[in-house]
Amino acid sequence: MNVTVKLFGDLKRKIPDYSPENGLEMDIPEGSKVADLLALLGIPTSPGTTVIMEGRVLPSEEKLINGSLINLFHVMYGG
Amino acid sequence: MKFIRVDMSRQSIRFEDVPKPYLGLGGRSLTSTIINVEVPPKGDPLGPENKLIFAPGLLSGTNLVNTSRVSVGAKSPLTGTIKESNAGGTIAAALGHLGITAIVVEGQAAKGEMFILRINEKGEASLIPAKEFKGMRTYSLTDKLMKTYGNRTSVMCIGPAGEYLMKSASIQSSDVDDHPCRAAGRGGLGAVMGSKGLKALVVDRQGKSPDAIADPEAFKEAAKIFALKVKENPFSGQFLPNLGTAGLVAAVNSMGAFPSYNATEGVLPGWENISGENLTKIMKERGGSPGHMGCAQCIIHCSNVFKDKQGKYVTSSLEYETIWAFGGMTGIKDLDTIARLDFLCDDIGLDTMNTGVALAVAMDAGYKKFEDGQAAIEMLEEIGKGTEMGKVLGDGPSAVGRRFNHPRIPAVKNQSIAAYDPRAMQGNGVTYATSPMGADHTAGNVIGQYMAGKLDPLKPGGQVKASRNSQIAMAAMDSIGLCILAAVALEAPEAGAAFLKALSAKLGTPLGPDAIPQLGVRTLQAEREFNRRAGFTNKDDRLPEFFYKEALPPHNTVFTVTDAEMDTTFSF
Repeated sequence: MNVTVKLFGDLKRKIPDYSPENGLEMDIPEGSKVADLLALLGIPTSPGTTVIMEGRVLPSEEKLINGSLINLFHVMYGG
Repeated sequence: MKFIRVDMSRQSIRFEDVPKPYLGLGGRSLTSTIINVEVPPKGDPLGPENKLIFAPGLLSGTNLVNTSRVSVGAKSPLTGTIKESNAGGTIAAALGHLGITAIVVEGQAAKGEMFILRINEKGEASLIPAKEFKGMRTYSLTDKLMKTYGNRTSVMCIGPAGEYLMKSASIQSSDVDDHPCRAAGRGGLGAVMGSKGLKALVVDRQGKSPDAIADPEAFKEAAKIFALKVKENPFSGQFLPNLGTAGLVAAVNSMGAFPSYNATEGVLPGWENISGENLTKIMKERGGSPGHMGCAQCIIHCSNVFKDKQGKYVTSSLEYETIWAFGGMTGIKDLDTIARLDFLCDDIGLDTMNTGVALAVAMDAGYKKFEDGQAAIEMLEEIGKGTEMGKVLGDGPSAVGRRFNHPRIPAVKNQSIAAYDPRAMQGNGVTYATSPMGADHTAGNVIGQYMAGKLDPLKPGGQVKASRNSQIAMAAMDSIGLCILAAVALEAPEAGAAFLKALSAKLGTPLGPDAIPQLGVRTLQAEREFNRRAGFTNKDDRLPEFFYKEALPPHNTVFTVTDAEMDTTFSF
């Protein structure tokens, strides 16, 4: 299945030539979970990574949905 | 350890040892305790019976990093409650270097009189007539004061809004570059300063008489460990220096909690234009400075300097909440306009949040159109001139709502909410409703819990507890003088232990792990007691009705924490 992944803050530095406008178009196995996606990207699940899909913060065991936009952040504490 | 009591009615100044009941307190715990003891709760906030108190945190002026935070306290003309408004800059460290625990400004100068309170490098204080500065905006004023007293000086001052006694008036604080861009913004304390006839507080930064540290070696060692932990934390050590607090724009929009178009939407279409990422990009292109040091003792550098297309200075310390208030709430998606609005607020002496939300309510009521940046600038200039409409706008969102008979006013106790919608971040709603300060995100922000996946922001369960814990922690941090952004490092056990050790070494008393929360609880209790005696009850600790009735897209949720649950927030 396909998902679009956008990286925010310092996370974009993990991916060489990352384009903030386009994000990453990724083809991942059916049934992939949040933890699987992060492993593919080489981003640790904890401490401190937030994965948001359709406005919801996802736990690492949640399955991803085909065609969805997934935003990745460091955990933030307010400004 | 000394108080400076300034009687504005007689223009007299008195030094005194810190009275026994106030020993061991600093920052917010001190301002709130003094107000609870010494200010009549039903008195006029703009009358001589109110007191305006400046108190550095318990650790301000020491070598511990990120401790130049000053608490400004009074009874608020905006909320009618007790108020602590917290600011960065350089003045807290300057007061700490002089061993000044608090400046208590009492009484009221005769109408039309205006003074500057000057404290020199020896700690001597004097009131200087300052009629020539009447009506002056803060950037010109600070520039003149720096030229007069030398640039090793800290300034806290009011602009025209404070002189007009507007309820959104701020007290501006100079940063390390001598720009009055930091603010004790909330609660209209600039109006209290104006009512006293005090235009500016000017403090020499070269003081060499700080309070002794009881165990300097232990302090030094603990301070070193804490600084390392602030640098190691990904949020304070990497994220903030790169993006500043504006980095939250993307996250909060992604969570559908960014109140937009006067809190009718939870996502601002086109938020990417005003994101921290875009802000940093623009600053780099124009020779501005992301990762700028704003406050004394700071090693995070979350501040910034924003320049226009010609490379000319526009504003400093353009923060997330300001970008939201002038961007999300008004629908203006242009950082140049938002930066200009931020500068105007600093220069006129206005809380950016209360003012941005006031403009949004005016737009929602049809006075001006959403997304109209020029109209927003013109409205701010109206405030600066003190026109009839300017005075309504300068009194904040509730005054604007009353003027236009418009019901959607996102404020609690007349103070605007901040950049987290309570329908999509319910715990922040609990804080807005129950904080003794009126709606205030820094009083107890819960976003970290949501982003760490520890709590579902859309459901009512667990929100009161999260808000309570955050409110206790923040009351303590505001008392110790630690920046909220450095406080995140305390999550690491080693950092927490080092911080406690530093505080113990400073005070000369071994403190247990409960000491810090106890300080927070004691502070909140004093604040609640003052508010109760001022006539506030639990029934005042509610959000505006529309948050319970109008669903917020995209989650289409309303605020669902019950009144009964909210009334347990301070069950301690």
